[in-house]
Amino acid sequence: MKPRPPTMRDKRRYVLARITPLWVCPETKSLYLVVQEAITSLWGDAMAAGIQMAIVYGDNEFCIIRCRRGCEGWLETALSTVSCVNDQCISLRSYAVSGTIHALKRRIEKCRKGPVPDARELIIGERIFEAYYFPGQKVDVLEKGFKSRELLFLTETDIEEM
Amino acid sequence: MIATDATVFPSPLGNTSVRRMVLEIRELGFDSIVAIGQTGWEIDGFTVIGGTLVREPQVKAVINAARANSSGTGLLVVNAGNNGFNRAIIQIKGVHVIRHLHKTEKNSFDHIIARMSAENHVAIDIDLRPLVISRGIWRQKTIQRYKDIIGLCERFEFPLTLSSNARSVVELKSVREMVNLASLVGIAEPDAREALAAIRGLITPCGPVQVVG
Repeated sequence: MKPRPPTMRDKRRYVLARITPLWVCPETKSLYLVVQEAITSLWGDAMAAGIQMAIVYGDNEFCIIRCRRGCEGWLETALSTVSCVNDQCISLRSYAVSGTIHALKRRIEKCRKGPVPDARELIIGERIFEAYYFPGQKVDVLEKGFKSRELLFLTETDIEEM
Repeated sequence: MIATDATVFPSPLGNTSVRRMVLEIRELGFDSIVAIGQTGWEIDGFTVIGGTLVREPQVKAVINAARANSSGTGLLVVNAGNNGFNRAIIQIKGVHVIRHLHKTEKNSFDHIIARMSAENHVAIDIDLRPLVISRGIWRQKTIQRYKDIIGLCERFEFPLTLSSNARSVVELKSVREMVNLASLVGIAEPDAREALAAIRGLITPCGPVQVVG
């Protein structure tokens, strides 16, 4: 089908959302499914169809979500209700709204925290953990193992005091 | 205080240390938190208010907690119960916030308790966690219940607080997210921001007018 001329197309808005924690690295398809579920369960099918959500960009820290202009408020509220993806706790915090993907990608370059650091081994008591050290003294600590891995969010000061 | 998260649970109640919570929540636009099970402290203009949570639906437990917190530096938060319990605790001096009204029976918070709450300056907490976690009928019931409380609040003007009830960094919400979630239960943006700033008024309530000079 021939694409419509620009003046006849629907106006879009793009929402930049930050993914926390950084090391989860969800796939774009998984993100799409959880955001779509959040929108549908909160606003219903009719509204979800009107929002016309799509994930247009995603990396380990940020994702850009498209919606129809005027629906960005509803989309942001729905993003707040996302709590897990693939059985892992996650939060999608809306960060900025723009009319172009280009503007949001420039924004991403300004506020990116950097790549996920390599995990270091950390021993607390008799248990072995993987520690991810982030800038700003933040340390995410994940227990090594297969079942019921404990997750701790600490600071470097907390680890020194242990 | 511009914005305060009215209840968070740092370690050992959650999986995040209080220092980490402070680092994270500062980036989300807050300048203070009420940390349950912690003592109060201040760092670079950020205030951690120590909070005591009473979970038992017994008046005696609430009285004991109020006595223990008689210095008034911490915030005493009580889980709501039935109508009689709520009516009793609202009259106890030292109780600051009543939370989890959405888990109680519908008649547990009526117009009489609403008026008493306004008179005694006891805040009602709107816990935003069920709006995030639950789905379907449970979320609908919570929204319905909160809307009922907001209706009484508009009439009697008792203080409201907003809380994320976070036990982890992942569950923390930014000011913008809290305002968005509060709009689901019929709280307009100015009222939501007022609710986020309400904690200060609870800890240091305005005294009677004094004539100076």
